[in-house]
Amino acid sequence: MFKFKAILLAAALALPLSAYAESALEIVKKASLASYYAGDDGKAQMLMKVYPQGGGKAISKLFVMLKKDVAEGGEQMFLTYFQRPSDIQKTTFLVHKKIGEDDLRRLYLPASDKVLAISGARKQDPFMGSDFSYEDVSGRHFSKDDHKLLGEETLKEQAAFIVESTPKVKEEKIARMKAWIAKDSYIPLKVEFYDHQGEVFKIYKTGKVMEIDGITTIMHQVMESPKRGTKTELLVNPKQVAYNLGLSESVFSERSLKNPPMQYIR
Amino acid sequence: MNYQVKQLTLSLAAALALWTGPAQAQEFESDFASEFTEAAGAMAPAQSAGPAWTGFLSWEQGGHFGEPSENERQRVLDQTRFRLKTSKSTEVGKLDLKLDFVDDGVLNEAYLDLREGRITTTPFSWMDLSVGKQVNTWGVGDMLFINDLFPKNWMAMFLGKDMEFMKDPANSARVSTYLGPVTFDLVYHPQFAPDTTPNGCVFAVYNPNSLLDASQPALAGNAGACGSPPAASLRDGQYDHDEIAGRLKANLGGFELALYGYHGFYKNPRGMELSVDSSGAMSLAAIYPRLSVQGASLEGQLGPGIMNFEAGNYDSLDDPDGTQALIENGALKGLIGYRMDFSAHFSAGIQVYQETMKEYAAYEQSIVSMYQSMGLSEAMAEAQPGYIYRKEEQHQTYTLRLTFKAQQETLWINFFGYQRPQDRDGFYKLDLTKRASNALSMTFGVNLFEGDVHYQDRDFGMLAAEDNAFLRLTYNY
Repeated sequence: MFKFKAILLAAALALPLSAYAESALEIVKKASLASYYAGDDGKAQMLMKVYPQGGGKAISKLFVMLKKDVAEGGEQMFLTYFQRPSDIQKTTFLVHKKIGEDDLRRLYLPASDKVLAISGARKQDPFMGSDFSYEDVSGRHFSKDDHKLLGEETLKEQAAFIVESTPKVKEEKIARMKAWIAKDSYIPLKVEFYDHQGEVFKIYKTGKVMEIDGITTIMHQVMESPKRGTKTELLVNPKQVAYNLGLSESVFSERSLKNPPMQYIR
Repeated sequence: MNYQVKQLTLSLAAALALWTGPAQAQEFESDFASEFTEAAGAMAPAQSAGPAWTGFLSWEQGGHFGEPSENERQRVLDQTRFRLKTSKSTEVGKLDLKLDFVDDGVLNEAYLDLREGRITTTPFSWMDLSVGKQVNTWGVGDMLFINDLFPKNWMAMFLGKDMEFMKDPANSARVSTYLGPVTFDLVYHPQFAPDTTPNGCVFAVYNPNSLLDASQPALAGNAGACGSPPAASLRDGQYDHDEIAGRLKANLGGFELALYGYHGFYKNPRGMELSVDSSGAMSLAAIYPRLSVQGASLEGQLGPGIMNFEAGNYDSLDDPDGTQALIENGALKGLIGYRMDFSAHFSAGIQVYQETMKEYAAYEQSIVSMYQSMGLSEAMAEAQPGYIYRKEEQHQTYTLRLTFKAQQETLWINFFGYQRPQDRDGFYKLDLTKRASNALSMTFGVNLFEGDVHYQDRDFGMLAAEDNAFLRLTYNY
């Protein structure tokens, strides 16, 4: 059995590399479009459950996220409106995701009516204390990495490409990523994040997937940090998810921080 | 009224703890059921048309460090607060309501505190109008306010209360217009809303009459003597007591540029009025002099962090020439700061603030004249307990903020400090917040003041002996 695998691997490595390199980029592009650029705009009510070290009860946050694609596969805008717990109710977070430069981030604290400019430099820092980084939530742009197709594998009865991505510019945390991307929907099924010691420090897994407005949508995502022993689940409410609402760019302006467009949030 | 509110607060608190608490907690938990398809159904009520009530119950205690003098209290904070909060949005507008039931053991009173009661409408697609009791904030300083002349609560800061209490709500009307990349806001307060500053009820404060009467202590008020120092007042009947503030803001390639204007009063009692009664006895009363401010700010990302810059021109309308020693001189104020995240766990920010008195020569001369009018030479004045050291033309303030977060951002440690070399005073706050669950969090911290015994008229200096520690437990429902 082991020998058979070794032969397969040898065969894979022997295949023409140039053809593979191109298709790896194509696969990652399609995966990025499928998981982050579905529809021209959209909304989803999400529940984030952050589990402490060693398990135990999760600290949860319930929020509605609106997004708009400024350019397909490029710049995007996000407005997040927090609903629970009650102490962060009405807190809003605006992100203008840029490609090749720092994001614009603004956090609004309703109790003190304060708009805080947040540095968009650290895209790998945790999103709201979770195992997901800002970049994991809003999408890592494929142009940041070199991609290599390692092969194919069946994961949970789904045929998948295995793509390895290595940052073009050395990063603080990520040395490389290994992703299993579904061959039919191009949804990433699993991603392993390797640190500079060569160890997996984060594992992403797609749970439940549903068809919403004809678009394959990830309803349940899990990010585990095996070295820290923590885990975060991100769930989408199937009754509160929609695409192509006709959101204008003005929805993603500072006005919405203080007076969010409730017609899309209710 | 007082007794009834106290009873109501306590019974609401008890009801929450005994009955509503577990029920609400359960409902909250079911909101977050692991099977989201089921959870979606449970979450629906919170999304339905009826108003959903949320809020918190908090219990706070604060104590003076060491043995308090007769002027000081041992317990500086003892408050139970129960909040009811709701929001209702319809096609025509939105109502936001926040009502607190407060039982204060230090001042021995119970009261209703309407923290928010406002209606927001959109009369035109390019305009929002918000009327009622509300909090307004602008400007880019971190705990340094040049163009933000909305009411602040310094007692909340000095007692370690949650940051939301740093801002006092006030009755106002706010119009915001959005024309392309430019936003214009106008806020009108029909009644002047001053800052909440130490008034002698909890902390001992500078007593201006000690300048006239050597038998009076420089610091007065406090335990049993609450309200004894003269209450700061406007010059009643002389002016309309309203305030107006405006801001024009635009984005310039990731930077936000804003221009500001304000017409009203100094937000804390920056003036004193000398009066002489029929028997010839003199006394000093604190007043809020009239003020007009024009300013600008710029904020945005520069390198890995955020740069903030703000400046303002303060026109002291009751002392335009700077000839009145007892009224704050006009000033030019400016600040520049930078803050950045050094890692996922640690961030820091520094600010340098500079204030330049506009009519310094006139101010110096006015001090000499003032003592002469009191029949004192400057040497004699210096012997009085409440002697006011002549201020310098330039004043700086340095601030430092350090934030450390760990345990998936359920543990926060925060340090914030002010240091003012010319006033020879400072204020430092260190606090730790731990979120134990979705509902429960705890904050513990210390507030430390620094001051020179000869500079007891200064903001932090007068509180130099008021170091305190606090604890807060909050249950969110």
